[in-house]
Amino acid sequence: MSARVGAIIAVACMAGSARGDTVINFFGDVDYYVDHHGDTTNTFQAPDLDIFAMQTDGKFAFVGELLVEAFGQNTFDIDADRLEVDYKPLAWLHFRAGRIRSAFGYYGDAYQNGKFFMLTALWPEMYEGNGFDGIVPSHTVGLHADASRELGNDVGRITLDAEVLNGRGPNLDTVTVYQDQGNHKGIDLRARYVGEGALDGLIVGANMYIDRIESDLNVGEEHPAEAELILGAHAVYMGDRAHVITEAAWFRDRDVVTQTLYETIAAFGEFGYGFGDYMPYLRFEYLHIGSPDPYFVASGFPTYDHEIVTAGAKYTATASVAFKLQGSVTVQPTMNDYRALAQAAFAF
Amino acid sequence: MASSLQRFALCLAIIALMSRAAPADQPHRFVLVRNAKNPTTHMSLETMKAVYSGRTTTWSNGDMLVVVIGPEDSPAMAWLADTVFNVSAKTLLIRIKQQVFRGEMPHPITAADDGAAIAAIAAQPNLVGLVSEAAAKALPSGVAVIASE
Repeated sequence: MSARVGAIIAVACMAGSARGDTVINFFGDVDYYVDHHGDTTNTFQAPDLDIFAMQTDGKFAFVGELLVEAFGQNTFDIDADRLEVDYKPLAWLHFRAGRIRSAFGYYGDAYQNGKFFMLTALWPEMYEGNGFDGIVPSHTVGLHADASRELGNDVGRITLDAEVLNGRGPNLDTVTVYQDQGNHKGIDLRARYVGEGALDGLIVGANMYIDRIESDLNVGEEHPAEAELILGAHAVYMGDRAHVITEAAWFRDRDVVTQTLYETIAAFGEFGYGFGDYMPYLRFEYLHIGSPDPYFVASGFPTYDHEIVTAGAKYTATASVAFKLQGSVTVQPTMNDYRALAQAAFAF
Repeated sequence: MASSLQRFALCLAIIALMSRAAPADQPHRFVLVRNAKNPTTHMSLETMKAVYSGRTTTWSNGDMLVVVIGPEDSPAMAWLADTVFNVSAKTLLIRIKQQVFRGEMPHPITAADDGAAIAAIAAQPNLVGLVSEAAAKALPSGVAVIASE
């Protein structure tokens, strides 16, 4: 009794100042890889530490996310992955400004950097590959607005997201946080149906993204100025036991001088079914390169068609710790690439 | 000075509440409570679900709505997960964490028990939380029940 009373008194005495408190969360993962490339065919990795904080005040909120990351190298870099101010004047209207995850597709702003929440151990390649950033423009700086309208009778709602962004940087890895590459701005639009009632857990959506990529003349990273159009679609179902995510995107980049077209299609389907705390999963990814896009090539993105098949299982040990074990094969024109991975992901 | 006296009175009320806790073999039932300054007096089960899943994040006056939740192994969390969402407390807690991490839901306040939940709600008008029916029968003046529809 005395311990409980002590705790109550402590909380009661602190409660007056609770409004000013900011809760900090930590996300990250520790991995062990086995593959068959290079001199080192197995390695431990502790590549990410994600420090997340949110503070609300009336209709405003601030979200800050610092990512300490060893991405394709043995040194850590610090990146402000999210730095946004939110304003929600009405229950159905929401604005964001700052460095944000773009509202493109499903995976990017559903999981942010939280591998703990992801079913698989790694991102789909269209979002992030092995040591290179994905071709979906998911990190950006600018303004975001979203609105939703209930359809009534527990049918669901329609949501619309609109963003004006600095858009693509000089390469896939660079986010133009300080200065845009040019005066053109990227425009991102997303429309969704979000199910409720009998269709609770269903999300069906489509995207259109328009941007202008400025030319880069740096040796080894050269690419021309391109006008970009991306069309995307996604269908998701998150039930109590079933997990289904499907996404596809068509990238059409046009050289603004020569008018040469570069087309890329990326798609994946991810499926899981839960048995208590265990969820086995399967993911199939497809990448078709119509003609290699110099902008993607300059950033190290693969230049050939390939498919990736991943199978594994996730065990959610607690509300803060999950373990995953998966194997994958990349089917490509030359030798196939095999990889196994064990991961401990946490969210404290 | 007045604030200190109020907090002391609140602590006494909470201690009195604790001494009236239901026997362990009785099933727990829980009710929503609010700060007395908050005008919301009724809430449907669907709205409650929307609130705890991050779909509804504002009160009628536009202020951010912040939920008070119990730890994963608390009776309040188990009741909420089972009765409202039909999932385990662990699953519900992960869903809430993900909504917060997405920036779609204000960070909830974790209260160890009824007393802590009541104390937190008494201090902030924009909070809503669950307390046991036994605790709801002897709420301090700054906290009131939200009737479920």
